Amino acid sequence: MGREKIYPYAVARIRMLENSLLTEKTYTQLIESKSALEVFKILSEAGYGGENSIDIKNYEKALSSRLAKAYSDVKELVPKEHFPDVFLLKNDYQNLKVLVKSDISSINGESYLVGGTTVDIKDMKEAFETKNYGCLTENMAQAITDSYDQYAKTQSGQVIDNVMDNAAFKDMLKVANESGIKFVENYVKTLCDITNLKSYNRIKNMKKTVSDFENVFVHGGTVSLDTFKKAFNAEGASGGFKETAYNELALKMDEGFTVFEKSCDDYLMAFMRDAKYKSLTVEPLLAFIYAVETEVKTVRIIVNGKLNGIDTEVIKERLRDAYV
Amino acid sequence: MESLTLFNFSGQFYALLGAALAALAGIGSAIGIGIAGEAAAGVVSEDPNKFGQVLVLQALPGTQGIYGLLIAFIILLKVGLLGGDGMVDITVSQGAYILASAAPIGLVGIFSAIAQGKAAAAGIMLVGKKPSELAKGMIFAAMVETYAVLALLISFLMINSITF
Repeated sequence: MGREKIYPYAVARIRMLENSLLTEKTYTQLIESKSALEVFKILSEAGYGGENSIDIKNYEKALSSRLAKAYSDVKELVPKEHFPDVFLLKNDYQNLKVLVKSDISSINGESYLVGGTTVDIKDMKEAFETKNYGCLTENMAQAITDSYDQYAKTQSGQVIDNVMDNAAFKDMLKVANESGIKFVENYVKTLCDITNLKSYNRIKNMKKTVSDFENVFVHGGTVSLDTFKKAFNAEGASGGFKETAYNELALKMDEGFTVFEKSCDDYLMAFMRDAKYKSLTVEPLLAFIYAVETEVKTVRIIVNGKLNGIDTEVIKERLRDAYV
Repeated sequence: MESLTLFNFSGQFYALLGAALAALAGIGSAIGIGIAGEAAAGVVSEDPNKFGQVLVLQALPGTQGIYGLLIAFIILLKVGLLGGDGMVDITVSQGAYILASAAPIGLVGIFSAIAQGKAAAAGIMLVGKKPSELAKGMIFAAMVETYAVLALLISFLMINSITF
């Protein structure tokens, strides 16, 4: 008997919910459809948007409610556990960024707030306005103060992002460590590394300097800042990662920006796919959230592609690997 | 004969302890069916039509409890508790033999039923995704049954060979 906690009911429900994920066949149909209208029709048939039909005005809403449902389904299945928060926290921090930035710029950022958070948006706004951060985590409260301080010094919006991202990973690692589940811990660390690799690739592509990278580096992954610094000075973009677990992934940097970004998402998906062969432990629950997040991302790529009349082949290149 | 007196209990006590040990296989069955039942509820909550299919799989870990019951019955018959004439006199070593012969089904029953419950839960999820593969799911879970049957066989042979 293993000592890992088992969740037969939750995993069985998730397995059933997995049946509602879009399949390879549906993706092919979506890509080959002639117009965005046809895409919306297929999505409606696949269960997006519920009773309402989807059109150009409400498709974003349908996508976010699909995500929100996945989050709430999983949360409902394991009400006493906090590990699903590793997925929700990024949305909390996205909202914090929006709140801080709209406060500084006095532009109303209401439309950029996202759902699927650990702290209710209303509570967060109230906490933000009253400066009473009781309902936020310590890291969030600290991040708000820090980002104002840093902004006052540098007048750059980017430092807010960096402060928030670092705090987000701190909170995610905390949740992961407290859960004591190896899979969750590894996911957060991998995500952290991938985030850094993406920033590295972007900054390298833009021919910026090491210090620019240092400004966006997030702590908590397995690849250290030193390794990145060395990689920065090495020949070629991908050379410096030979001794890390990401050598193969890093090689994709040489194949261009789009290919690398897609490969990063696929790398995480491959990590998640291990959960397919777990029948009683928590992995499938997390993988399900990730699968839905990826599905929504993919659908968004297709819809935006179709709306903007982008060539089918170009859309295909950008499609992420699906879970099922 | 009286040289072998374990903790000064009588032979009859050890015989009854054997019957009790055999019946403990039910612990495993209860846990196994519980695990499978949770998974079954998860599947049925999304698709109530699958009730019949998942029920078959849920029932599989129940057999160990029945095997334990069977051996416990044989022991009780053997010591005369079910005959109505009262318990026969048995020596401590005879009682200890009976206790030993109950051990295989008692212990193997507990652990194999839990393991089978997990396999059955996985089979139930398999049915949830691919309803046509019920038979395969059952085979995977039934493989565990082999070892419960082997333990039953050994317990049975041991008890049968004890003579008073």
